[in-house]
Amino acid sequence: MRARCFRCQETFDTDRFGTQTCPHCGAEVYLPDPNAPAPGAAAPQPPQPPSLPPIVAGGPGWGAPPPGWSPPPSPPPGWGPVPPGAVPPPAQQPAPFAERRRRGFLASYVQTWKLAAVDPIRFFRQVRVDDAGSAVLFGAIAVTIGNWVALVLSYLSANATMSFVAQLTRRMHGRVDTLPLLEAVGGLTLKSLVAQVIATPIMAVVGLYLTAGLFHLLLLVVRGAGRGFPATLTVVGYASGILLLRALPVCGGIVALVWFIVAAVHGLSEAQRCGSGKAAFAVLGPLALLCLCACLAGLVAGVAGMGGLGGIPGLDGGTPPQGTGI
Amino acid sequence: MGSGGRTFGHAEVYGVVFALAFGVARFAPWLALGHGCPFRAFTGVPCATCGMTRAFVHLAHGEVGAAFGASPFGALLAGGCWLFAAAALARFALGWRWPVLPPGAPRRLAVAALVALLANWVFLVVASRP
Repeated sequence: MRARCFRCQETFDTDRFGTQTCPHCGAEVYLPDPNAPAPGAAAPQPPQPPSLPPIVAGGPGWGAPPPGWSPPPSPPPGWGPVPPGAVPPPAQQPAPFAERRRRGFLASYVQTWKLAAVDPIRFFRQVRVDDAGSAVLFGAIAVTIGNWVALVLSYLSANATMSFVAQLTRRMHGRVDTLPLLEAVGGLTLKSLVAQVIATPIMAVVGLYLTAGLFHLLLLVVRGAGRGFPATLTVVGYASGILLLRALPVCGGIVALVWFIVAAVHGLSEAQRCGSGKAAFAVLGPLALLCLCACLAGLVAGVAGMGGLGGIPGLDGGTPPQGTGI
Repeated sequence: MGSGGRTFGHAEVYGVVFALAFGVARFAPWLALGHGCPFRAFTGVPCATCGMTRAFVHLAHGEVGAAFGASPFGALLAGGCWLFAAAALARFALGWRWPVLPPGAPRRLAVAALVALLANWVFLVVASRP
């Protein structure tokens, strides 16, 4: 029979059901046996006499349920921890945050955050991508709160930072130009703080869409966007939950950035079924372009210097070119 | 891109973002801030996106020549973004349908954009030489 891998979408031939390895991508694929009995009807039970609850003394609630009563619905399976050795189900399901009305806002947010940050491979493999709005809301909340806390911390520590820089300048006897840093720190007034706090939610949504657009553009180039833009936006939205860590003082920004990159690579790889290489190209492409800029600049400067072409303006001690470059 | 009616989808969000970009480029004093490109300040060579801000600001003020002089790709990008914003808002207001792109067209557009960005970078490096 012919089977299709849920991860890479390639087909392969097999002669058995159960867990097996995809010959194309190496993913574990579980093929259920259509002739196997349903789990609830695995073994026919002999008819049992109706058992009545024991009559005991106690408060109400222990008696037999009234006619028409049914047990309350349990949460849908799938996002709980996978038992050891078990193959995660390939069926797609909405993220917990997409069911926030039923599960509760905070509880669903925390559960989704844990899944996206700690287990991104399984989460993005299974999450449905047709509700990107929830992902954008999830990411915008995290970015907004992280930025708000970072802004307030910067504002509160601005005076201390300025004192430190001024002291450093005195000790260096003016050999270090700290004026730009002083201007930057001093520019964080209460007015600018309020303006940034107000603008942060809008900028968060704009940033999510622009990031997703950039990633998707690069995925298109390498034919890695098989499930369309909503899948990319879903990954960027849920992975941006990690940017909540920007609220941590000092190291929060760099930790959040590195963690986001890792989660986004895994997420795009799984959600777009494109493999880690293409996902890494899309996420790291802009950074690689920056590195390429640096390497090429060094190469050009070296060649120009060796060839006696006068070097590159600004590198040979000459006057830098006009224009700011922005 | 085949959605029609007054649905507010991803394309319309991008339309609003691009319209905001026009407003900022037109009315905010970005060039007066004096922020420069750190890469260019360090190496003397423009980076791939150098001149984008100036291209957006100049084009928003109707200075087409200055915009293309700052960054040809930036000027084309700004024009494309603002045309898209106008199309998205008009489509939303009038309830039109987006044209359905042929298969493979998005990828060809993405490749063309990437090639144009690299060509723009070469132009900037050559143009910055004395």
